[in-house]
Amino acid sequence: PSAGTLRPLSCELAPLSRSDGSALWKAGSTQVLAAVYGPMAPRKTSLEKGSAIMSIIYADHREHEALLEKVLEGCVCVDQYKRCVIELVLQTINDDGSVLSCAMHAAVAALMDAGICMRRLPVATSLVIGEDRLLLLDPDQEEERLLKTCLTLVSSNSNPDNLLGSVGGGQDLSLETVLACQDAASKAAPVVISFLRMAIEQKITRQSKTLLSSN
Amino acid sequence: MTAVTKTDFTAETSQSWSNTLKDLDPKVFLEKFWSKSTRSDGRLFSMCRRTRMTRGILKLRTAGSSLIQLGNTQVVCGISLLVGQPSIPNHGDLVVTLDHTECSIPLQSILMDMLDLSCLALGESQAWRLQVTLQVLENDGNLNDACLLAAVAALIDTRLPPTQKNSQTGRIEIIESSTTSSDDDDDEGALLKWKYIPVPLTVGIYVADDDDETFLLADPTEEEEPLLQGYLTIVVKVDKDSSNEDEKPTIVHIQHSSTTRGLKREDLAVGAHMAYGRYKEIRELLS
Repeated sequence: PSAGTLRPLSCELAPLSRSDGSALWKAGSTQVLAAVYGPMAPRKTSLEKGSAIMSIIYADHREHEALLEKVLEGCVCVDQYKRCVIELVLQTINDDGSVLSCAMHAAVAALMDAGICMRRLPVATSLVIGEDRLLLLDPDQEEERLLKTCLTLVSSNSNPDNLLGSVGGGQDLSLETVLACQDAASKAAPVVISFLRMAIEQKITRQSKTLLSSN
Repeated sequence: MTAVTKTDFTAETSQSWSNTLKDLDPKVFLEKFWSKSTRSDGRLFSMCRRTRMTRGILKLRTAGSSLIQLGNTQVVCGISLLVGQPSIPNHGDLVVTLDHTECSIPLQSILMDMLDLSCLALGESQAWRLQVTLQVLENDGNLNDACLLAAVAALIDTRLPPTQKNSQTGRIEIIESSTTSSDDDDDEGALLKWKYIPVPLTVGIYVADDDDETFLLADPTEEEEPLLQGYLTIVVKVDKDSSNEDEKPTIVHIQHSSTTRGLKREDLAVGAHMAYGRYKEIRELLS
C-alpha cells in the first residue's frame, strides 16, 4: 500500500443478533468486532454521575480501553440516557496493524447500529513515521514492526482540526511531526466518514424495502 | 443569625467558608480560581508541584529503588533482579508490575526503549531481567508522571552485582560481598546504561462551559481531577550525548483523550512546550 492511501474498508452491520447493536469493521486484513449492549440499567445501582456511563471492554488491548472510553463519552449524547450504562465489547478478530483505529471505527458503527445518539463521530487515523519523516497512513503489522514510531490520532467529523484523542510514540517524534500527522489525519477522516455513511444508508434502504414489499 | 459584615471577617471564618463552598460545589470553587488563571493551591497553570526524588530508599533485596513525591502524591519503586534465558540473545529484559488502571502510560515499552538492554547480558545465553515493581503510597493526582519518574529514578539508582559462573552447575551466581558497609562505591556493582532519560508531563484539559478557551493545567491534583475533561501526557527526552543546551527535546510518547471538543494545534504546542520546560526541571533534579 502506498504512503497516503487507506486500505480497503468493509463494514458489516448487525452480524450479531443478541446484542443491541454490532459491527464487524475491516481495514485490509485487520478485523475488529464490536458489540453494544444498552442503554441499560447499571449493575451497581448507585451512580454518582447523572448522565450515561460508557463501559468499554477490550480484552485483547486493555491499554486502549481508557482512550476509547473518554473519546466515546464525549461523542455519545450521554445526557439523553441518564443513569444508564452503555456497554461496548470489542474483540480483535485479526490484527494486521492499525488495530486501534479499526476498533474505534467498529465501535462507532456498532453504536450507530444500536441507534444510540451521537453528537459527533470520532475518526481514528493510524500513521507510522518512515524515513525522511515520510508519513505512512494505515500501516499494516509489518510496517508497524519495522518503523517503530507509530501514532494514532482521533479527530471529529464536525471539526477535523480538533483532536479528540491521540496515542503513540517512538524515537523521532517532534512537535512538528505530530502536527503534520494531524494534517494528514484531517485529510483521511472524510473518507472514513463517507464510507460509514454509505454503510448505514445501505442498511436503512434494505430495511425499508423489506417493510414496503409485504402486503 | 447576625449578618456578617466585612469587618467581622477573620482568617478562620474565610477559611471555613471556602471549605464549605469546596464541599458543596467543587466546580464553582475551582472555577473561581481558574477564571483568574490560578489554582486552588496558588500555582500557575504551567507549574508543577514540588517534586522530590529519594534514591536508594529500599536497602534490602532490591538492586535499586526510589521514592517520588509530587506534592502529596507518593510512589515508591523497587527494582529486583532475576537471571534467565532471554528471547533475544545478549539482551536483557524488563518487566513492570503495575495495574494499568493506575498508570495509563505504557511504562514497559518506554523503559525498555530507554535502556541499552545489551548491558544486562551475562555470558552467552543468560541475562538479567529487571523486575520493576511500583507501589502507590498516596494518590493526590497525577499518578502517570509519578510512576514513570519513580521507575526512571530507580533504574538510575540500580546497580548490577558482580557475578560468576558456577563451574559445577553452569549457573550464574551473585558474588556475595563479605562486607555489608556501602562505603566503597566500586564494590557495589555496575550502573545500567541508558540511551536517554524520559521525562513525563501530564496536563489536565479543561474547557469552561461557555466554551471559549481550553485550559491546560499541569500536574493536576486529586481535587482537580473530577472536573477535568481529559488529560494530555507527553514524555520527552534529549539524547544523552548532546551537550548543547539549546538542543530541542524530542517526544518519546504522546497520548491524550478528552470528552469535549478536543485539542487544537495551539493547545498541543503549548502542552509540548510545558513538557520541554518540565524536562529541564527534572534533569536538574536527577543529576
